[in-house]
Amino acid sequence: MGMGSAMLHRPWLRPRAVAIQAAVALGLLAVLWWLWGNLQANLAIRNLRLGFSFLDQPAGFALSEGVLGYQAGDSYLHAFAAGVANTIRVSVAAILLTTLLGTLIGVARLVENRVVRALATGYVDIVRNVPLLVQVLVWYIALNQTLPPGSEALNPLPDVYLSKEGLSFPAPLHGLGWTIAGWGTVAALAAGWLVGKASGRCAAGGGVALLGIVAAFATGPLLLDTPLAVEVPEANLFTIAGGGTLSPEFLSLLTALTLYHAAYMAEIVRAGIAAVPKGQWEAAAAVGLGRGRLLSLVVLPQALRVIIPPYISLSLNITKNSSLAVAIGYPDVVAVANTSMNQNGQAVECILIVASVYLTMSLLTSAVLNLYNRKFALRER
Amino acid sequence: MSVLNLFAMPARRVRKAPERPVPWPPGAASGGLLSRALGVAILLVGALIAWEAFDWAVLNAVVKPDPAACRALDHAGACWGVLVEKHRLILFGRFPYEEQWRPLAATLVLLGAIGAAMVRPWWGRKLAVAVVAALVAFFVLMGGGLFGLTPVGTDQWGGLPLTLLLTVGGIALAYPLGVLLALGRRSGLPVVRGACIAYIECVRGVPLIALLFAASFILPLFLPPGLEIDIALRILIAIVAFSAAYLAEVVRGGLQAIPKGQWEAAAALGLDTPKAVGLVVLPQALRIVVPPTVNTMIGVLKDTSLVTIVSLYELTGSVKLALSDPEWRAFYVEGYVLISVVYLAFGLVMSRYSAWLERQTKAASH
Repeated sequence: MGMGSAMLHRPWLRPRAVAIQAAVALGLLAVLWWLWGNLQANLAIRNLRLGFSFLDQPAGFALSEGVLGYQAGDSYLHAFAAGVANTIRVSVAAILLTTLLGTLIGVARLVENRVVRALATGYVDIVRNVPLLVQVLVWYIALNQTLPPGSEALNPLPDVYLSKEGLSFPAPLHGLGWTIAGWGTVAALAAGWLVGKASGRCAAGGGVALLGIVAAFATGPLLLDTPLAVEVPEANLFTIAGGGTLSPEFLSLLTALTLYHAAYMAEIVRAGIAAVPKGQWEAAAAVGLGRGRLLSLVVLPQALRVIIPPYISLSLNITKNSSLAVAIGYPDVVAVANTSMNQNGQAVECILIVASVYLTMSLLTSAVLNLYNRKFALRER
Repeated sequence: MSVLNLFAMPARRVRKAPERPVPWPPGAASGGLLSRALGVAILLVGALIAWEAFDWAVLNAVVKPDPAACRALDHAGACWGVLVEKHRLILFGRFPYEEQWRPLAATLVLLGAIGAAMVRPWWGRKLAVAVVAALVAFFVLMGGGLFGLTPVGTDQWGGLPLTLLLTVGGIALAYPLGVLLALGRRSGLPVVRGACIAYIECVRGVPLIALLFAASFILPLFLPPGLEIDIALRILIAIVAFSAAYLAEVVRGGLQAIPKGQWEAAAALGLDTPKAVGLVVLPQALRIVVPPTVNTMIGVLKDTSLVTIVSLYELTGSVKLALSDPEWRAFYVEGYVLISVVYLAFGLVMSRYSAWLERQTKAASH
């Protein structure tokens, strides 16, 4: 009887179900075995060997830009790390800008002003229907053809230069003052969060954080006599030297990613706000809440519940779509893999690295998303 | 306890967005002075931009394929001459020039078949046969080798017919695969469910470019030595594998929205699992998700542009090819405007058709 009741509660243990599952598992294993055998045979013919030992060897190519100090001749591992850093760099910037622009357009689709609404709707309809790659290519060629060469750089703001060589701007010069300011800001934000949480008052936390940040920035110049040095770009006869620089590749990829995904973000925001029943607006107005508190206490918390899950997958999409970088020569992780496998023929390993980099980001994100859903999803009685 | 219960999982409610825009901010007087002023200002700026665009695209435009005249414009007007000069290359890629009536005919046949398939009263067996016949005709016209047509390898296919083939082929093959994956993910059998979840999450976790690189560079390594698959087919496989995972998630949304009672009613009528799925659950589930399904299909259309990165010259690639001519390189805007209009037109037709279809089926089911 024990066996029978076990099968009743676990229907997948019934004989037919077990047979089906065994057949599926065996079939999948057989296919994998066959593929693996073919791979071995093909590698033997081509005199190749699987393995990641090539990662230690020097990579013979340079990357046009990066933040990890990679140079031609450093190891493949270093090159891949620089590629991942470039992917993250452009993705984070694109996610931030998309959030701002998309929210603006999404709200514009809901206002009563018919002209504003039509404008936002038209934007979404057009931008979503043209492939992202076309947009990336157009922005890249447009920047390349319309911007002047470095010797005749545009100077839209003091100390800011825009040319074919990119956007140059004053950048902090590495030093003790900035180090203290940076870590101090992190510490101040953490302290503010803790104070806000403990006291239950947002304003208290914000005040602590603000004071801490000001103190962190003041410590260097006022107490330690190490100024917050800034390097200003300078235009000479031929080029722009010094300061921070954003390359045309980075700028065009960032622009295209932002404008394209803002249309999707707008739809997410619109759906989220529209999902808050009209009665909630009216009820909040009826208990006398002003417009600001009505939004912050009643509408936004409910809208965010709907907005956040698709927003997180949009952010993930932006990260994945940043791989279009390879089409315009921005050295992201896919471009690094592409160059690497052309050089050393380790195509299987290089594609595996790319896939696992993105998979790790996706799986981490969906884990966070599931946590969020469990914590905040609406529980019905 | 029937096998049916293996499939049934608790249904989740789907909430529909209200049809009308919610007034925002609420209580703001509609038609207030500020709001009106803003509207008028936007209209004025819009009119100005529209006039500039008209001036550029029509009044100042050069239509003759004359690079010197185009350069003389200095971008004050459009140089449509680049399209006159390069339209065959953009539309048909590197297909042999004298034979380009064939991709033209193939494109028209395929578009005709798609158009016919959109007419609801014609749906039936005859139409299915006609669509299959059109596909066969497409391959014969493009590939040749029959009826005295010279053979043309897929490496020379390009432009619009290649875009259409990858889109239509990708959707037609990915859709059934996606439905199977979605059913597998809802299955009560842990092995089946686990395999489907692993596939769907892995594919959705990587960018399409990674799959395209894999199909282009390493798929041959996983096949028996000596067996070579055509590059266009390998790319199609990558597109199908990618799109199926996304369609599976769309279909799963539909399956989750079907109330448990439907499964129980089907079981009460004595239907076994395949019949309950095929006759009761799937038809309803697929109908619910028509809009997101069409969105995913438009996504497939847009995604086909990526194959230019692995050197297949569909629309986007053939424009790049056309603009690599130094005489015409400066007139990239005109080239990309053309293909953007093509993508936009197909995308808008698809989304408007799905909205229409949704209204029709809703009217029919009430």
